[in-house]
Amino acid sequence: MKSMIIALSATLMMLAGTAQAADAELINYGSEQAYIQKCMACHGENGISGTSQYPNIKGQKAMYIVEQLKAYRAGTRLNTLMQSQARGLDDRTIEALAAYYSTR
Amino acid sequence: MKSSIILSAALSAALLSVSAHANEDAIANGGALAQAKGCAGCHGMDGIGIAPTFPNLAGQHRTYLTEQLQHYRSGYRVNAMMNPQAAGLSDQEIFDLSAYYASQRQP
Repeated sequence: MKSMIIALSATLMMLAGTAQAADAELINYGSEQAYIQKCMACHGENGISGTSQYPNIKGQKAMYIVEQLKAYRAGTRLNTLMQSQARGLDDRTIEALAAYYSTR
Repeated sequence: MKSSIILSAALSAALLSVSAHANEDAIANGGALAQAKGCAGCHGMDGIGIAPTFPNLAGQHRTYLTEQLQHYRSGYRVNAMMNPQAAGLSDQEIFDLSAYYASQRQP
């Protein structure tokens, strides 16, 4: 029984480690994309925007960011600038950008 | 010349203090509205969303918050929850709510 618990916790820890590595990889990709896609030009490197019309996205909920980028891409949320920004993003890039800015 | 500088300094100080008061009033009134209108039910009194799809509002730019509430009110921005929430808000209420959430500490 005791060894089963130890084996189980070891497996869980390994899984958690894998998940963390995957998160770190996604965040890293997100930071590259935030630069390449020019998100940083308006929202800042750390999600603090210098202009009051552009929202701060530092520490914003990742799921909310994903939802909004997909809505811009689909054209269900209207904004000339953001619709053209989001048009070319694939799902992985959207998730990576959300992972990056939500963890600033 | 000197007295006109002093006068203009005094005038600016007075204007600044009036606008600081206006801002404090807006924040206080916005806090009461956040409670009364149910905003806090999803966005928290501290502006931290209580679920993954409810955005944080704490420390957001006031201009941005005002614009989004106006867009929800007019239906330009579509959201089943936020459109009815914003439908009944006056310009003053939108201004005050935006001032309140913008004044909360950013996550």
